Amino acid sequence: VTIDRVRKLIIDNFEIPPEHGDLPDDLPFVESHLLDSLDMLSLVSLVEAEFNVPVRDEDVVLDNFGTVGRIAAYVDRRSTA
Amino acid sequence: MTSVRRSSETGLGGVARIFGFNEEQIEFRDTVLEFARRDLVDASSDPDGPFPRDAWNRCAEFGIQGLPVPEAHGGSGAPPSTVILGLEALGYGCRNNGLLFSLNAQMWACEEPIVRFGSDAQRMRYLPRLCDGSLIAAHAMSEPDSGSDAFALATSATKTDGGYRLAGSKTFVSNGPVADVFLVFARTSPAGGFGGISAFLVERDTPGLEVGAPLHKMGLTGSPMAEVFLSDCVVPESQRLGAEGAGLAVFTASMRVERSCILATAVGTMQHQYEASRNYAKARRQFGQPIASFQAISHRLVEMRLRLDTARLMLYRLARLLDEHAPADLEAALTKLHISESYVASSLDALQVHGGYGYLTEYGLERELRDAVGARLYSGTSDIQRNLAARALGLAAPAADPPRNREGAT
Repeated sequence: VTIDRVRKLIIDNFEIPPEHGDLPDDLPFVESHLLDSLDMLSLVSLVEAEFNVPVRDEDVVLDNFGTVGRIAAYVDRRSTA
Repeated sequence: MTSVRRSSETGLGGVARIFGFNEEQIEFRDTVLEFARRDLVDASSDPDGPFPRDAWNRCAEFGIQGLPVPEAHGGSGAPPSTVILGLEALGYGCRNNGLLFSLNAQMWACEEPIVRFGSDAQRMRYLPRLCDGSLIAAHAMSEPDSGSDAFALATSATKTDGGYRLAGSKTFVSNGPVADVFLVFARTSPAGGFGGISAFLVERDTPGLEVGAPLHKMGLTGSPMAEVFLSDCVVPESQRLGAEGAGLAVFTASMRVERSCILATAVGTMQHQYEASRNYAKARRQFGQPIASFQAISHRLVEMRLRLDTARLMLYRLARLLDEHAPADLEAALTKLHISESYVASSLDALQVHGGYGYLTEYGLERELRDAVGARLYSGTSDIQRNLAARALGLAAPAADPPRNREGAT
């Protein structure tokens, strides 16, 4: 469920090129030029609001926010912490 | 018609009370003002002079540099609203905008990241000495080919046995000529884009770090600036600030608070400018009457007052949001944008009200204009603030081009 919400959150808020329209779980945002640095900060704020999970400054790294799958895993970890 | 006398026409006035600041905060603000007027006279009288190290030390002794730093690390741990009030008073009482800029540059772009991301050892090593004035810090992010596009930086940090080898060059490094420690951003992963950047604390005497000759600027002369060159500069892993790849977070967290607070001093300066211009307009007589009675002048003063009040109200609103740890990306961008543009416009108006005298260097108004122009550039240009505000309003530009081609982002 989380992963679908993350995917919808990104599709609803960012302009995703048609070739990446289905936004696979492991598509890297940076290497695919999907999101830039300002998008990433917007995304962090959106994730915080959508899942009511405060994101710690030190957690804003690609290991946590680099793909749809990583964001979902991060949210699940933070929600159960 | 009866004229109404207002009690807050001079000084910092009672707006802070109306906005809910408590008596302790107001008292602190007034204490800062007394300090600035009493102990920063030498710096104020030579605002185009070299970096005033003695005044810097007096600021540290008073506690300015330690305001946002927790008590455990040598500061006072003041909430953002108190810091902002104090800086406004400093801007009102001190005419050396270069000194004020240097203080801001250290507090927000260097101390704040160490507080947020530093290890215990890093906090213990640097924060107390940054607070007491014995160390000065500088933030080294911009490079010759990456300014607003900050994360396009080329400086590399190659992993070595137990540390990193830094190579590259930085420019627009405020405090660089006098700094003891540099917060350097470098690329630890060539393929990681903005996610492959890390931050490092590099001490001045580290072999391979060289500070260039001071850069000469249009204004803010009292705040020295230089290039910094890194060549085979090896730092241990313990000098990395935050996790590897956390450069984005370190930079954006510090810029968020910097753009919120750095122009609090400018609001104090604008208050001083407004009062000086109004007093001059009431005293200066032409055609047999004070020039303030001419609509061309009075309207200009009204515009100055309007900018001052809106700048202050936006700043106080932001201070409250920061105190409450509420989301404030939009308000921070709007506040930085509005204060910096108002500061320049009012500096021009102040000069115009004074006529030919405003053009003379001895009145200090042309210098304040030169100082004010910098506010539209540092901590994100006015155009970048508009970009940030547009994003926060959900008005982001469509990604028709690869993101690297969009201004202000990578």
